[in-house]
Amino acid sequence: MRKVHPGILAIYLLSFLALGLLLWVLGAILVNGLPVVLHYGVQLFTANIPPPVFFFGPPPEVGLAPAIVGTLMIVFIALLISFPIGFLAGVLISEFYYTRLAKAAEHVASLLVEVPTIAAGIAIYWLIVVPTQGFSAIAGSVALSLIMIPYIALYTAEAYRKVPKLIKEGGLALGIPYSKVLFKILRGLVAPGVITGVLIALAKAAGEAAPLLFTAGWSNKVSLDPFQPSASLSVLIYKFGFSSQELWLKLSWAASFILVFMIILPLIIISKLVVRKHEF
Amino acid sequence: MSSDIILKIEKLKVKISGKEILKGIDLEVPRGSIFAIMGPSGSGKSTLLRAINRLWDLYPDVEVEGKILLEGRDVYQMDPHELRKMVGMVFQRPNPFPHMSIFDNVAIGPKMHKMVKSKEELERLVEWSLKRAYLWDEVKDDLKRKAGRLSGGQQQRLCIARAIALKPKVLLMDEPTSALDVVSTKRIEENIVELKKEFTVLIVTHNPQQAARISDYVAFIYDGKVVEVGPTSEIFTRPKHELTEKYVLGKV
Repeated sequence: MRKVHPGILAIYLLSFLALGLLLWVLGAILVNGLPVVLHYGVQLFTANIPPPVFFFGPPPEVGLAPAIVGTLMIVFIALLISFPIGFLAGVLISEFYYTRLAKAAEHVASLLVEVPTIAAGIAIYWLIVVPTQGFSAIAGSVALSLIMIPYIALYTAEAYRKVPKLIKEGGLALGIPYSKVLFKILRGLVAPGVITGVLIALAKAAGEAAPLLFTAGWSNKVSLDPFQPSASLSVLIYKFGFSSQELWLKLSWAASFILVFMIILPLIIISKLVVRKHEF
Repeated sequence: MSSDIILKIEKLKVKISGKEILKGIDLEVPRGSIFAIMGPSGSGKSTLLRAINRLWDLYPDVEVEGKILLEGRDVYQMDPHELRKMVGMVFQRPNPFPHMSIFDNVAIGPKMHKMVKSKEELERLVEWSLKRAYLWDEVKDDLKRKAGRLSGGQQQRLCIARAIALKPKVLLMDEPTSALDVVSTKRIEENIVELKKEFTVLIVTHNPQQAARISDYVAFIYDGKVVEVGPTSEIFTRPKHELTEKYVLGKV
């Protein structure tokens, strides 16, 4: 029999272990969440969150709409805030690397990626929630932006760095201003990298509960007003996951299923496809 | 005399990260000629070209001193974008925009400079440029093809088309054939000789044979200084400087 080096064996075993754990977690969400989603069907996506059964008896309608709408709205506003800032910071880091500002931006971005997300939540709590005297979806968006900006900035910087200098100079030598070379001519070359960064940032932000706990608040009803408190899937999972009520526990699994299988995984898969399609 | 000199370089010094690469270059390039700059690697040839169209502007560690006059105008007093429109450049390795179509690669310059008023005019200009670069016949049926899909030689001719679409006065060529095979090199050399009818060509080469084959004038640069300059026939048959003679014979 062929001898396998114990180190190699260990690598294989640990890889399978890691993969197994991931599949176990995904499997648990699928097994527990999917039946709930199938049981309630469409009303899960349209109805409001039911009040506690304990006080009010079995609810006529069971839904997660406020959390789904809340997550989409909070994340969308966070994207509107973080994309321009993150993109420009990325261009700065890559193209003006020799300036002090660019070096500072790169350090801050690398640092922000590592900051515990709950710290972003507490910071925005003190900076926005306390002064405005209330939770709001937009405060949640700002907290998520802090998490998204560094991802978008670092992916954008990487996308611009990957463009050979020779191609940039080809544009400049035609007398095209630097800004137009960066934003127009190279657009098609950097787009896959930038889009990947945006999608990864979205996937990351959509799954975060910690930054929203002290910022976005909670609402049982669908609200499209960004200045009002709003529910979100991640916070719902956190809240209902600890509940002793069976219905709320079930909703927590359903929310996990929607978040992971209908929002985060598709974002990650699309981001991989974008990169593959544009490699040449 | 002065009106026949399209480009005049006076006491040009270039420092990169504090190191002097060009140590005082004086050159006069006659209009409508092919002017070759030859010299061994590291002698500063490319550095010189990049000073002419001010590509060094974007590098904070590069200092340029001296004067470059294009049609009597100091290029360092000009708007760099206007200057680069008047001075086309073809690089050492083909660098088309790989994600853009053949058509767009040529059209982007004239579009950005608002040189054309209509789509038809743009199409005519693209055709004119591709014909001048001897690429038209090979690509005319598929102008929408991505430039990255062309062969190396075709890409370089596309870069020539892209540069001449702006109708520059001077075309700078930085060892344009160094990354190409013999057949592509020959085609590009023939192309350059044709282009002389409409443009002044300043070509850098590390290959003295190439300079002998195509140029009217040649300057031999060594260690950041002009060793010898004059009509090509003279330099190659009666070099005044010993170093030039050695270089021409391939001994440097």
